[in-house]
Amino acid sequence: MNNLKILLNYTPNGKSHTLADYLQRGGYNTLKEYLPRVKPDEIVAEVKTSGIRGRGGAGFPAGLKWSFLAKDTGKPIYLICNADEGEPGTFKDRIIMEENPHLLLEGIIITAYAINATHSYIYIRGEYAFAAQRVQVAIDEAYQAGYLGKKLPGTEYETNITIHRGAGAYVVGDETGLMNSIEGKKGFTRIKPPFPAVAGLYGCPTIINNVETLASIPHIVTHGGTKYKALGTQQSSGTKLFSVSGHIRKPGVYEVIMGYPFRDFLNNECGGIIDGRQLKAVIPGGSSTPVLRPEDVTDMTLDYESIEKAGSSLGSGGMIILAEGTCMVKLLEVLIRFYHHESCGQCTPCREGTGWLYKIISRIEAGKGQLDDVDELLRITKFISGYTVCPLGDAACGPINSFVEKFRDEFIEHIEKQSCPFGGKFIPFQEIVN
Amino acid sequence: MEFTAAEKQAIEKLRTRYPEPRSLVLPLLWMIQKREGYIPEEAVSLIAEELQIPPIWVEEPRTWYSMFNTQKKGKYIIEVCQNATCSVLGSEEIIDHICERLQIKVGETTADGMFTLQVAECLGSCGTGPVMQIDDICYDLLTPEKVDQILDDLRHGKVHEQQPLSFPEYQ
Amino acid sequence: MKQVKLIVNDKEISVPEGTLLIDACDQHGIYIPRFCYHEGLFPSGNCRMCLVKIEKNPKPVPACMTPVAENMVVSTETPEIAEMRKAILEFILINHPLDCPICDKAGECMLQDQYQAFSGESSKFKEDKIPKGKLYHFSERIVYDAERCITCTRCVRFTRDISKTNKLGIIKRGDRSYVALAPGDTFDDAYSLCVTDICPVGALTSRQFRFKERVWNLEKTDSICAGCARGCNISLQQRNNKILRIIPRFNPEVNQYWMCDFGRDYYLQIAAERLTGARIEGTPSTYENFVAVVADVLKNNAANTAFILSSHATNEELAAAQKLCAQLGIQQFYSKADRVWHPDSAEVQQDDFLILADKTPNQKGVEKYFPAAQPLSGLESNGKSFTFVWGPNVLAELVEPTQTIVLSTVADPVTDKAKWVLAGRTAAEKSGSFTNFAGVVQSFKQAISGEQNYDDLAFFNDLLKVLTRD
Repeated sequence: MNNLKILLNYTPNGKSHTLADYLQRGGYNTLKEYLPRVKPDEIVAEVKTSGIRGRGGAGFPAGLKWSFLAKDTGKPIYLICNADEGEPGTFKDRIIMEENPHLLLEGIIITAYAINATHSYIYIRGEYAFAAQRVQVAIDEAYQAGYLGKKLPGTEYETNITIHRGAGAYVVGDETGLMNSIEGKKGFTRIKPPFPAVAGLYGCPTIINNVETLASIPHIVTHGGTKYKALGTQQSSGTKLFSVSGHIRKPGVYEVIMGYPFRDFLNNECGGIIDGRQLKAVIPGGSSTPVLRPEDVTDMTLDYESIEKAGSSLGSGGMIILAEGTCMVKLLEVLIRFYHHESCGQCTPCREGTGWLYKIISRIEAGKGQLDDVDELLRITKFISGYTVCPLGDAACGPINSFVEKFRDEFIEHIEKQSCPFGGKFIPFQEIVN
Repeated sequence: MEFTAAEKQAIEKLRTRYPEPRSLVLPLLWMIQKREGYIPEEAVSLIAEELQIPPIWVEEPRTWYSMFNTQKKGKYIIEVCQNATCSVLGSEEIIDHICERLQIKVGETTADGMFTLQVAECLGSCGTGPVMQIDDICYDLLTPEKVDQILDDLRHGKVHEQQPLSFPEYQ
Repeated sequence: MKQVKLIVNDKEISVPEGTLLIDACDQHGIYIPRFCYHEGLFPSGNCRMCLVKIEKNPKPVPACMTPVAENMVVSTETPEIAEMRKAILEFILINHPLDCPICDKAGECMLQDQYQAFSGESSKFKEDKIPKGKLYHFSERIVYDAERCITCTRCVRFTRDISKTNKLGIIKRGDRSYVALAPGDTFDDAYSLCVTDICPVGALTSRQFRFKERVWNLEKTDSICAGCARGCNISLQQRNNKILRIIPRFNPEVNQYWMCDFGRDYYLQIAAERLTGARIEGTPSTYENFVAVVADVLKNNAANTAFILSSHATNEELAAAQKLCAQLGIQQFYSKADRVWHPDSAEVQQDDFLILADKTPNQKGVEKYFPAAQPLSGLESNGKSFTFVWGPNVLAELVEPTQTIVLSTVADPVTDKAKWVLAGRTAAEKSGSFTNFAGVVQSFKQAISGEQNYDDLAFFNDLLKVLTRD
């Protein structure tokens, strides 16, 4: 694999999070050299050309989103960095915040300049105490060095960044839930339209981008959007961080140029399955993305189009690898328990439906399933998907539909045997590795 | 219940960062929880007064966000991730081990008020699971032995520092 | 106002720009089912019952959150929409307790009605329902049942945007959530009972009406509240000649969808200690004798009589009284509110919503028919020897040394000692009209029949008959 590092462009020397280290790597050059020479609109155009898609999970082209920003409303403009990273299986934004926070800050500052933001917020989930610490230290360093709170060199623009801490809610990873949370409310999601770019935080035009997206901006403006577009595939440009975990020899966060073959990634970079076992299932982009079987991923490459063709989605890049011997019904129970816990409660299908689904799947796993339960699961998801206020409802249905579709025989076996064929447990991982 | 002078200072600083006082609800709920270990009912009217907003606007977030404790808990709240990867890597065994060691069930507090055991959703450290979080420290690559050591340390008042993420290589 | 053309179910309709799709359909006879939408509240779009298909959108959209657009093509009755409506109803019902046999809302419940109209199917839910608290006393008036609640947020939006007390919210998350007050708080809200009107199910109910009567047994009469000069439009609901419940009626000009809590209690209070019959010097008299005697007294002492008017009277009664006084030559008129606001009471004196300081329904009527009426403070020094007191709680004590005729509804220090006392009727027991503070004349019909009391209008007409007969 090409060793191009745009996001993980540091040596893990224990100091990569400091300003000194960042400067040594050429950090903040873009602010000093590039910003004085270009106008905000040109930056937006560059990012549009780069084709970078939102790295949080939705995959919406960032430059296009920026161009929707309502100008001339007379209202303040806000930039929010979505550092909520709640999608199970995802831990890549964390690495950037803990080990390379200044890259993120530089990306935020450039973006704030490009959209003329009045103020920028970084919404960091409550659980990420260490990441928030590191980012706060970096922000303090940036203030001291004059990148924040002072006019940027060669411009009339200055900006401020505030960290806003979450308090335990997956649904605030959705941009509208996030805005409500910053406003001091429960993280209920909002119906769109209006879109945040028109009326968002406090009713003002707002741009929300994921950590990884913003951290990619310095590279894009330094080297140009065209060069970035040339990396990767037709519809997926640039590099993407994949956080890989599960029954894998080398779990971790990997930066991959889009289009890299999955099989190579799995066996080379990630070291293959533990204990020499066979691959049973892959969840490619976070728990909300449909599960894939080994035959689905034979020719799959790591990019939006190929993963979609395989039947799933690149999502956040939170990849979970599962080996033979994993009970898929039990895993589904774990996942639906999560969505049920996280459903905000405002809309009927998700609020009631996730609880219903959880109860049925629990029964099946506990050996009390009935044969019509399996199709009942699909009937319920049919009336959640597409009818909810926000994508959490659809996200809950992703695993249900795909697990039942790909592993129906396991569900039937649980029901016919009136017990879990795997003894109600997962592979004894600790025993295997220790 | 009152805000301390230091807290009041911090609040004034926070006010300059948001155009609307209601935005301070989460930071102030955190402030109280950091001090008390949980957010008692009295804090609702205290925060509402401070921000000049209706008390129900404080009560709603207090009960909705899962990291906010609405009741007093033990000195150390152990949150073990029970989500996808951690489960697959053995978090259930870790939870069972803690239950057995501390003689409590999930959600309960030890008789000496030292530890409360809770389960959490994905803590964002799947690569080094199983994972648990106590206060602001994330402990990963858990084994029953490691858990015993950590709890023992805490019992003896030892303060841990967060170790940066370091991924293992399994065989 | 610019008009917008759109097509709904193959029919072209035209509505003003900015109209919500759900209202546009309502206006043209197409009913879109809903729970969380209420015309008097800001829409929230969270119940998902009103989803409809719009040609250009891949997913159905909530009609309550979608303003009409030129050339929009809408389908509200596709097979997909029909199936989805059944599913939403099924979702609502999976944790909903089947309390209908004991629930006050039965018969006027949106869940019952829309289930019958849009589903009627059995549930396939086999699991345990979520138990929640069934008896929260939000205040002395309001009871909340969390199991029945469908968290539509109508009540939350009401206290946020209409009564502006911000008392109610929804706490906890997901299917564990329910409506609550802040810790230690009570539902102190002058309009609190409105939430029981707008609650689509039996979650929020009135304690006063709880378990009293089945709504389909109630006879309903449109009326006007007599609690203050606003004249909120109300519905008096009775069985066996007893008013059991008062709820507001929609009037866009006067009170929109709302009324205050005091107005709901008003008639129930008056149903208590009522005056009965006719009395002369403490002794019961027949009505005919009373009319004859009083007519005589008035005829002989008109110049010496002070006439205190009731601003609780209907326009028709005031017109008759004016005719009578003109016939008699009575010229000294006084007017005073016959219900005084007490600072010690919990009642609101005035606010910037519906409640007015003038606690009578027809002061404007008095001003119209008796423009020369003076404030009551002038009564003491007028030197008259006869006083006609019309209405309750007008005077604290008799004006000595006059002799007093009283036409009133409740006993008070004056009725105890006055020489001639006739029991009159409340607005619920007669037909007539009030003119509210803004000059709007509103008619109402009799809801219940008065028992052992007499119609004020008939009384004045009967006096007139006696006087003109001679």
